[in-house]
Amino acid sequence: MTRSLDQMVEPVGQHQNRGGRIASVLPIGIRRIRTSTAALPMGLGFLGFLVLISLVSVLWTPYSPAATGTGPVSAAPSGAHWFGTDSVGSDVFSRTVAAGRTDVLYTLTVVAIALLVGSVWGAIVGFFGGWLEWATLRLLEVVQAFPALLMALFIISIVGPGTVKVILVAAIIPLPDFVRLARAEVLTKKNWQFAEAARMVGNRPMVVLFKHLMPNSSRPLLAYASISAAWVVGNIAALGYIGLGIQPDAVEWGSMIARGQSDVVSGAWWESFFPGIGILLLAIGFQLVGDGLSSRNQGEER
Amino acid sequence: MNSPASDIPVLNVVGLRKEFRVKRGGRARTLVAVDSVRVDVHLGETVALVGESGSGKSTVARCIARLVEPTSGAVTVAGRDMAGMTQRELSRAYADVQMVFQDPNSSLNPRMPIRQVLAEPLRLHTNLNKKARDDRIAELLSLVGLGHQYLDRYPSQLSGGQRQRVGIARAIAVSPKVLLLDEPTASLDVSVRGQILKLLRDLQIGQQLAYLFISHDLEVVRRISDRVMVMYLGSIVESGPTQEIFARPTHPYTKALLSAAPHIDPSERSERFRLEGEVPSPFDVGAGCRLADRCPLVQPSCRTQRPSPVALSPTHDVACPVVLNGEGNTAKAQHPAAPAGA
Amino acid sequence: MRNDARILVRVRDYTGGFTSGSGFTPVLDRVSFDLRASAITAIVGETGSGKSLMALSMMGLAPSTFVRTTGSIEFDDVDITQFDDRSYRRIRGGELAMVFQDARAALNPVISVGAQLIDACRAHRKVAKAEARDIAVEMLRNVKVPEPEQRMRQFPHEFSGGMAQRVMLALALSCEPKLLILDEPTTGLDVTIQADIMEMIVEEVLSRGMTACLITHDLGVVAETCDDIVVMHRGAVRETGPCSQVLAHPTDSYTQQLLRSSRFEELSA
Repeated sequence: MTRSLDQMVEPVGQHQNRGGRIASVLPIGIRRIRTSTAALPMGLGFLGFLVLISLVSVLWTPYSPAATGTGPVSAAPSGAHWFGTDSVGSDVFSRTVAAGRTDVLYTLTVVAIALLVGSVWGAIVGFFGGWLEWATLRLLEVVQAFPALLMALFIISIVGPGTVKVILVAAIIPLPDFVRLARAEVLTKKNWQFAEAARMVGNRPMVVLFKHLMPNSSRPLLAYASISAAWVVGNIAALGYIGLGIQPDAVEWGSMIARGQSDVVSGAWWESFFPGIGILLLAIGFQLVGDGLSSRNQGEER
Repeated sequence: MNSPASDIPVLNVVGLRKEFRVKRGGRARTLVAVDSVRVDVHLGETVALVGESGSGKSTVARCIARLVEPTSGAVTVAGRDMAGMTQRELSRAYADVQMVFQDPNSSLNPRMPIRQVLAEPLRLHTNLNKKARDDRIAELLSLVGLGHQYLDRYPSQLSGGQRQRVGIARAIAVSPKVLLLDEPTASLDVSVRGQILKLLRDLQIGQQLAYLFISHDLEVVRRISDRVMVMYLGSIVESGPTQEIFARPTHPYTKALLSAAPHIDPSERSERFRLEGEVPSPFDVGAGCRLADRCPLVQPSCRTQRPSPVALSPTHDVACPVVLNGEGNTAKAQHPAAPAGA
Repeated sequence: MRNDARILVRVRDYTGGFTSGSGFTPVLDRVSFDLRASAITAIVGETGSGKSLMALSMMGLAPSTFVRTTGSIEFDDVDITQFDDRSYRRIRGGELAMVFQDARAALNPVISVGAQLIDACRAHRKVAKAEARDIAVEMLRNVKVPEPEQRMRQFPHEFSGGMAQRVMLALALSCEPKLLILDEPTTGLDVTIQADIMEMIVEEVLSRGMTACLITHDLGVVAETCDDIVVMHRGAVRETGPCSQVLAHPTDSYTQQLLRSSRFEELSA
C-alpha cells in the first residue's frame, strides 16, 4: 500500500492543454511526425535555423531594416531584394529577418515570465493549499473565462502601449495554465515518499518544495512551456497586427503583416507572406520541441 | 528477545486520533483513520503495528512524525512534545526520530546522487565540516553494507535492496533514537528481505534504537518484534508480547489474521478463523465494535458499545468483551461455522 | 483427479528476449516444464525471473518487443507458438484464460461489470442477451460476490480489490477454459482476503477438473494450494517437481536459498 490516506482525500488538479489545438487540425502525415521521435530534433532544427538567422541579422542584413527607398516601391522578389520591397521601399527580407529577432525575444521573454511566475505560484498554492489555493483557482477561472486576445486588448487599452506593458499583458494569457500545471505536479508528487523523506531529513517545507519537488517537475513544465510558446508567438503577432502596444511600423512580424495587407489586394503578396511564414515556422518549431519533450517524458514515466 | 534499555519509553503516544474530512457524494463526511491509539517504545525495543489495509497503521507513523497533522493526542519523543512544535522546531526534532519508507523506488529523490542523499541530513543537523561529513558518510555506507562506489551513483542505478540500504543509512545518519519503519521490506524480494531485516536488527543492537515497525506481514513481525499491536480500522484491538500474541491470539480479528497467513511448513498452519465479508467502508463507522458486522462471535452488545482494551495479563490487552467473558465458546456454537475449504 | 498423469501443456526450451534500439536482451533461457492436467502448478520466482513473461507467452500476450528465438509451447498437443493473433483469439477464453494481478486495472473502467461478463459469455457461446444476463449473475454468485444482481450494474472502481479479483475470476471461468493461468492474483490483497480468494480458486479449479498455473513469489501460498512447482531464476528453470517433494527436499542451490529466505533463516544465524 504505497498510497496514503492523504492521497485518497486530496483532489488532483486538472490542467488544460490549450497549445494542442493548433496541431490537431493538421493532416495525418504531419500528426505522425508529431508523435515520432523525430519531433524533437525537427523542432530544434526549425528553431535553431530561425535563431541563427536572427543572430546573423544582428551583424548583417542586405539593407537596413528601417531604411526606406532602398529600391523600387512594392517590387516583387528579385535578385536584389530576395523577398521584394514594401510600400515605402524597405527591403522585406531585411525587415523580416530583423523582425524575427524581436518576435523570438518577445516570445521567450513572455514564456519565461509566465513559466517562472506561474510555476512558483502554482507550486506554493498546491503545496500549502488552504484559502490561498481556493482564491487562486477562482482567480484563474475568471481570467480564463475571457477570450484571451480580447482580454489582452482590453487591458492594453487601459494601461496604454509600450513594450514592457505588452510583454506583461501577453504573459497573462498563458500564465493560468502554468499555475495549474505546477499545482497539479505538486499535488501528485507531494505525497510521494521522497517528498516526505525530504521533510524528515530536516528541510523546511519551502525547501522541500523548491529544492526537491520542483526540479522533478521541470520536464513537464518545460515541455509545456515550449508548446505554450507556439501560442504566444501567435498572440504577440496578433497584438502587433492590431497595432496595439507595439507600434504599427515596428519591425515585428504582426505589424508587417498589417502593413502589407492592403497591398496583397493589389498583388504584392510578399510583404505579408514572408512574415507570416516566419510566424508559422516559429510556432511549429516550438510545438515540435514541446511534443518531443512530452513524448520523452511519457516514455520515462512508464 | 531484547530487553528495553530503560524504563522510560523514548517514544510515547497517548490518545492519538486522526480524522479526515472528505466530500463524498456532495456531503462532507468524517473518516476516522486513527482512534485513541496508545503506543510506547523503549530504547532497544521493537514494537510492531500490524494490520491490513485501512487499519490506520501507516497513518499512526505519519502522525507521530507529523507528516500528517494529528487531530488530537500527545506524541512525545525523547521527552519532547512533538504536537506543539513549530515547523522549525520540528525540523530540529527530526534529529531524534526518523523514518524508513516502504518503497525504495520513490523514497529517494531520483535526481540526487547517493552522496548528496546522505550529506543532506548531516548538513542540516550537524556542524561538521566537509571532511568530517565525508568521513561520516563513508561510515554510514559501511554500516549498511554498501561499498563507496555507490556514492556518485543515482538511485536508478541501484537495486531495490541497495536503495533501501541507502534509505536506512539516511535515517540513521544523525543517530536518532527512534526509527519509524513503514513496511520497510514489503517492496523487496524474498531473498533481499532477510538481509535488510538482519541489518536493521544489528543496527538496533549496536545503537540501542527504538523501532516502531509497521507491517502487514505477520511472519516478519513474529521474528523481529518484541511487542505487537494489532490494529483494525483505526483502533488497537490487541497488544502484548510477540510470543504471547502468536501463541495465544485472543481477539477475533487477531485470530482471523494469524490463521489466514499461508505457511510453508504444515506444522505451522492452523484452522482458519473466518470473518464474514470484507473490510467495510471507513466512513460512518457505527457506535459499536468495528468488527461487529464481520465477527462470528458478535453479540447484540457489540453493536452498541465500543470495546476498550482490557488487561488479560499485565502485558496483554484485548479489546473484546465477548472473548474476555468466555462467551466466545457458546457464541461459536450458535453461529454455524463457515463451510470448510476444498 | 489431481494425480492425472496426462500433460496439458509442454514447454520445451523456450528461449527469447527483448529487442530494443540498443540490441537484444535475453530474458528467457531454455525454459522447460510440464503442466499436468487437472493439477495446480506454481511457477515461482522473484523479480526478473521471467515467470510473468512465461505466463504471457503461454497466452500469446507477450509484448511486441519480445522475440522468441527458439523453443515451443504445446497446448493439448498443438504447438501454439506458431499461432498468429487470430488463432490465439480463438483459443483464448474457451481453451485458456488468464487472471491478472491488479483486477481493477485489468477490467474496463467505463463499462459496468455486468456488461463485461455478458460480453464474455456471448463472445464464446450463442446465447440471447437475457440468458447471458442470468448466466452472468450465476457466475458472480459462484465466486461469492454478495448481492450479485445489484453488483452487475456497478463499475470496477466500486469494487474492492478482493471483489474485483473475484469478478476477474468469474470472467476467466465464464467459458470453461481447460487452462487457467493466474498471475499473482492475490499480491497486494490483505491476508484474510488472500486466503479467501485462494480457497475459492482451488475450489473452482478442482470442481471443474481444470488445469491451473499459478504465478507467484509466495512459497506459503504454493505450499498450501499447489501440486507441482517450477522454480525460475533469471529466466531459467532451476527445479521442477511435486510441491511436497521440492519444498521438503530441494536439490537446487537457488531453491534452497529461496526456502531459507522464506523461512527467515538469515535472522537465526
